[in-house]
Formats: sequence, structure tokens, C-alpha cells
Amino acid sequence: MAWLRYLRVLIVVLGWAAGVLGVAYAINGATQAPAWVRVPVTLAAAPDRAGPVEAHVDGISVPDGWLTGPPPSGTRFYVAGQPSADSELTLAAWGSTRVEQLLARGRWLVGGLGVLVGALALAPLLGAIADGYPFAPGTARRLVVLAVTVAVAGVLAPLLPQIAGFLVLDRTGLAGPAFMATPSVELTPLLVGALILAVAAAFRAGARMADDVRGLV
Amino acid sequence: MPGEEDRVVCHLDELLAARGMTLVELSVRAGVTAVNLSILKNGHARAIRFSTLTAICDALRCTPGELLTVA
Repeated sequence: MAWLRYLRVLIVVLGWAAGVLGVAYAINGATQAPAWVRVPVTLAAAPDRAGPVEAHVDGISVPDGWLTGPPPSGTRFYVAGQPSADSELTLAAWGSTRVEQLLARGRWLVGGLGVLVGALALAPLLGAIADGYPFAPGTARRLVVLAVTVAVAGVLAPLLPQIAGFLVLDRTGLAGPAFMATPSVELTPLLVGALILAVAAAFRAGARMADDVRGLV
Repeated sequence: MPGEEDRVVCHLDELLAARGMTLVELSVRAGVTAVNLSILKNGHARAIRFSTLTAICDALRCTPGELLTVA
């Protein structure tokens, strides 16, 4: 299975690239402090409004209608009044601290390191499968490492920028009823991690069966 | 290497010598790979399929008791 060997090499290369670039990007941001920092914030909905968010963009007029949905990048827009639904926005603020910069780029830092750890755990597994020994010793353990990495990185990566958002709101004095400070935790990475753990259990059972037939002629 | 509980001894070497047969010839006659026969001959086997045992005994014209004994 030569294609598995190529895939193994590709995964290792991508893993190292993601890890190194993620760390470099985060450190680069930290060295720029104090500077602009972009963080996700949530504009809280007005409790007495009903209907979708109405967004306005300079130079664009929608006859008999309005714009709604996520704000477009690269355009200037404003929201008419306080929205009726919680709206995700990006807050750009000057005078960031190193911590804010690191956390704001935390998605790339944690994500990149997660990809690197996952790739280093997955590569020997692919090599064992390519060599015809899918149930080689250590395979189940590497899958457990991969499962934990997916779960931890998947949960932390989007969370760190949100924490940066809280810090920036606090520093700029915007923390208050207009902006929500409720962290959201992604559940999908936890489900994927659980699935990989189930696969690890299957590989552990397979390793026991392979050991039973080792030396069978 | 067999553990202390593996007291089964394989006499394939003696049988091949008595029949004037090489391992490769036995492999062809029995339809068992030379790798597996080598594992058996060198005492590294931990189990043997009935089909393999039958094929080897047919090729060597011997009984399982002549091929394998317990020390």
C-alpha cells in the first residue's frame, strides 16, 4: 500500500507546517503589542425586539428589503438599533496586551499544535498499516493520543479568542449589557474524540487477536 | 521463542533428512509457504492449522505423532 506511505509523509509534513506556522503566527502577534487586535464579540439582543438583525452597508440600498446575517468583511456597516438576535461581530481595538494578542490568535496556536501532535500520533499507525501490521503494539495507544488531541484542541481553539474578547471588552470599557460575555464550547470535537476512542478500543481488541495467532502456521 | 509451556517438539528436520527432501520441495508438495515451514522447523511456531498439519503429513507420508511430540 504505497499510497499509505505517501499519505504518512504528507501528514507529517502538514503537521510540522501547521505546528510551526501556528506558533510563529501567535508569537508574531504577541510581539506586535500594543497594536490592533481583532477579537470575536457577541452583540447582545434587545429583549423587547422581534425580527432579524437589520444591517446597513454604506453605498448599498436594498429596495423593499434589508441586509441581515453575518457582517461582511471589508465593508463599513452599522446595525440599526440593538439587534433582536445575538450577533457575532469582530471587535478591532488598539492598544492590545501580549496576552490579548496570544489569545486572539489562540485558534491558530492550539489548532496548529493539535495538528502537529495528531500527525505525529497518526504517522506510525499509517506506517504499520502500510507494512501489513495494523494491530502492531502501540496502535491503540496512539489512537487514544489522537482522540485526546482532537477533543482538547477542538474545544480550546475557538475558546481562546473568546477569552481574548472578554479581556478586550474589559480593557476598552465596553463590557456591559450591550455585549455578551458567555463562552461557547464546541461539542463536535468531543464527539469526534469519543469516536476515535471507540476505534482505539477496536484496535486494542484486534491487537489481542493478532497476538493470539502470532506464530500460527 | 516458545515459552516454558511450549513443550511440543517438531521433528521436521529429521523427517526431511530421512526422505531426502529439502524445505523448498516440501513447500511445493504441501502447498505451505517456505516461510511457515521455516517457522515450524526452527521451533518458533505457536500453533498449527489442521489443514497445514494434514498437508505436511501427506507430503512426508508420516503421522502427526511422528512430526510433533511433547517433550
